[in-house]
Amino acid sequence: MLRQVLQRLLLAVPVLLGVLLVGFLLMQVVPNDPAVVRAGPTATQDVIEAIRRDLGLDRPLWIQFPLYLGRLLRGDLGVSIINNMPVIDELGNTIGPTLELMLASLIWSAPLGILLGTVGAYWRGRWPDRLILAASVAGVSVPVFLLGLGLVWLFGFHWQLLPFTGRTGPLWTLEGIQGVILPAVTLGGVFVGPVARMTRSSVLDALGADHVRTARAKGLSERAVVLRHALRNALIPVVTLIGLQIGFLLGGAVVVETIFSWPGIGRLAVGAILSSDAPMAQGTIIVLSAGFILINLVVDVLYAFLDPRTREAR
Amino acid sequence: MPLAAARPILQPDHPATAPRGAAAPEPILEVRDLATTFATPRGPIRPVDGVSLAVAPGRTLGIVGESGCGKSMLSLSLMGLVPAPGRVTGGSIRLEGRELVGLAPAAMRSLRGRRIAMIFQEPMTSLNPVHTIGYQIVEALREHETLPARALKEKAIAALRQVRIPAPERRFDEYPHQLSGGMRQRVMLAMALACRPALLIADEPTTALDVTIQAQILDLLRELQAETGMAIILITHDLGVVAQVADEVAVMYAGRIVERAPVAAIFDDPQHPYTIGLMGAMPRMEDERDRLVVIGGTVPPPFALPAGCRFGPRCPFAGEECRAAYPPTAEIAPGHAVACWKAPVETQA
Repeated sequence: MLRQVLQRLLLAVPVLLGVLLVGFLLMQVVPNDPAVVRAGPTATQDVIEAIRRDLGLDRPLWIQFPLYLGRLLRGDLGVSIINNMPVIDELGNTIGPTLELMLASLIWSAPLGILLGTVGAYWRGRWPDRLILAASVAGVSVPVFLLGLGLVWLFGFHWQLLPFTGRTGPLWTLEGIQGVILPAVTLGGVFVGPVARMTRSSVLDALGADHVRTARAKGLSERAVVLRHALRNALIPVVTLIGLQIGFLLGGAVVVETIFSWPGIGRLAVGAILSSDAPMAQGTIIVLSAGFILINLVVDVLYAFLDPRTREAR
Repeated sequence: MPLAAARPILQPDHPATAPRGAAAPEPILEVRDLATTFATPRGPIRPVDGVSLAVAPGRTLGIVGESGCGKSMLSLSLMGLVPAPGRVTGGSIRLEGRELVGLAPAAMRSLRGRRIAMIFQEPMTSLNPVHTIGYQIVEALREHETLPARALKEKAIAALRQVRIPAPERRFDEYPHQLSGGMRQRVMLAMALACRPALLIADEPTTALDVTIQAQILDLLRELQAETGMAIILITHDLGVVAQVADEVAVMYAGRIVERAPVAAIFDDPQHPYTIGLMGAMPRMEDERDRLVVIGGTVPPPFALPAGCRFGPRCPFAGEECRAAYPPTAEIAPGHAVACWKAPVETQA
């Protein structure tokens, strides 16, 4: 088990290197000169030249890339064109709120989706199933920004029940929880439908399996059959789906953070791109990609936990 | 599909059980006129249509027939596991004197696995891949017996030992994918027999296994029957298997039993043209023929049954009366019943 995790970690390294290479090449094609940016608006030509030599920017690309990786390892991602702040600091400040938002979105939407999907499979073809199907189609069809704005209008303006203007505190405080409810409902809302539908079809698949017939032949109750024999097996593809969907959730976070002024990395990325802040955009891309790779690793490990057949490397 | 038994077995051979033709004790299972109906867009179809049979403790009833003749649906009907939209719509199933047709689902559930158990054709997929085999056996026990966890585990290990699985303590914590096909079928047997059922239904238990493993499993079935005195209904398309383990044979065709007899009578004196055809289709060691003999045509699907005798269109002996009405079942010798207008046929040359 541990060996597999280490193996997967090693495999993640070349993927990450690829991402970094793309990010590095991206910097080559944007018109900004990083040395000029670092030196600031008032610097003289000599200072800029010194910085250029210092960063190795006067050397060929294949030497620049390792130098760039070296700076990355030391936490040097350059400075923002806009406010001259080190990129790494901005990333550090925004990653926490984004993780909070993702956690708060997933913690209710994934279990709810699995629950609804299982309920639908249990009463397949009957009214609970139809209701859930209709709701999840509606949920999938509503664009994130529309859902977000609707919630803001209803709960923020109309009933004035919940704050909607950014992070109101850490998650473990009451204010923090109040502040995260609307963004988390918006972001998680688009997540419930796909998970429910995937769970439903996966459980129905599993219910037709031979081993479920065996479980019934043992005299198990329908509930035990569905929970212990169908759902347990059905979760394997569902976990994969959730893992992949988290990637899209990162994309949704960009929209949701913008709507709710959530000080996360998604909003940072949008701001950086809109203001042509190349070093900052590059930093956010690296972090988001690394996050995606990490999520895939977690899914693989979970997979091994759920499916004993993949546990030992044969 | 042409039916041809794979094994060149000529005569029934099984010394262990009661002598053939001996009067059977009181049956433990009695089925009368059982009908299972599926509502389909093309109208109701009846894969099991008026089946009657009986099996006594310690005895084995073989049910043979081609693919699609209703064997598996019959076994699921006995278990109360007919998949929707099908259901048992008529007749009676009496197990140990108790009527199962119309029994409340909860009451049926408490019998399933405890008094009536079943093993299936595909040992590869019939066990849940995500649970250990120990867990799956314990689960069956726990459903029907209230015992502390340790006793449950001991009982499960005893069940594994009973089906001759080596090192059962170690196997207990293994997953199905770590076992071979034969081992998995043994685990299925251990699970089915853990609660000491009175009746075991084995639906093609050896079809998916290779020949040596097949023989081992059949031997094991016979030994376990001798130990426990359970009744067995063995469903198969393989006459070689029937010859090896069955006391009585019921031949099924298009949802009905067309002939029922002690195993020796089926092989020595088959009466129904379909049974005769099955015998002819079985390859024999001494045959010089190059090609396998087949019965022309296929079993009619339940929504396109011919008028009169259902075997009529494939039957070389069919006459006017065969097209007019389905023949009644007549007992032509003690324990030997056949549904054919032409029976009894004269002794064959």
